[in-house]
Amino acid sequence: MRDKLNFEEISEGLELPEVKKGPINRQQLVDYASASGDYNKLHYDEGFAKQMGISGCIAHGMLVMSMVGSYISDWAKEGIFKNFKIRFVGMTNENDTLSFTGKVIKKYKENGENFVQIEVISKTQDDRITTTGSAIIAM
Amino acid sequence: MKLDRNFIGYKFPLSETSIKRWEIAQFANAIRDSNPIYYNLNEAKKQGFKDIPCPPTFYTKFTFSGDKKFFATLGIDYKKLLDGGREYKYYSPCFAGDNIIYQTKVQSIDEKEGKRGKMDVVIAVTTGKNKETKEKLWDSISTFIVFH
Repeated sequence: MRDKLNFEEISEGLELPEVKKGPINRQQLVDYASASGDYNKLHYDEGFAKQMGISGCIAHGMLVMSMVGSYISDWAKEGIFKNFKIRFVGMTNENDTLSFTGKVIKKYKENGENFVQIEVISKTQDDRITTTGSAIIAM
Repeated sequence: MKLDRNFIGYKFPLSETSIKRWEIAQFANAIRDSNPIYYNLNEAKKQGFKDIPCPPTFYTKFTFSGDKKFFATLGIDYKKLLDGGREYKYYSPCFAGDNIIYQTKVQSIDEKEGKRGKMDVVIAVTTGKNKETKEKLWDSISTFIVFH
């Protein structure tokens, strides 16, 4: 039996516990490049990043979105993703540690199914927002 | 430079692949997600799945169909490119062992004006389907910003 989150106990405005992940080191950037097939050298070759006018390697936006996805999955347990969107609003640099926060903004029933909508933000250790987004989860 | 508007509606060639357990494990490890359902078939089955499930952003591997030369085809210079965001719509879950087909279409190219001047906003949609049943699995909607 899968762990369950009780839909009845979730309320709009409920905050998800904050979780920190990282630091995102070079090894992880290389691992993500090969796992995703995104081999843009910006993410693991400092010299190339500097040529592009950036001070060092930056994380793939999709790596950060994926980490947000894990953050939501860990909270929503058996919940099934119906929609997941992220805006890349700032760069995540190599060796940044990200903190993830979220909030239930809507809870509703549709065609007999239970849904929650969650808003999420990722921030670096120095409080720069790197992504904002939301997800709709069927419970 | 403004992008060629003739690419609006352009469809890249269809691609197909089969989802492999080791690719899911490799992806889960790269995003440092330790959930055992991504690594261990018994754990996945215990949680009621038919096989190892795909993590929600696993489809990033299939962002572009065809030869994956999306940016080169549209004449987009990496130095002027910003990844604006991604949206996934999920219609049906996907598991290791599934055979899938996917295709990328340029949905729109619109000119906007921002702090850094004029830009083209390119929206590309990749739709994934089950190869055998043709059931729609997901849409991946990518927003790219290309400065003029």
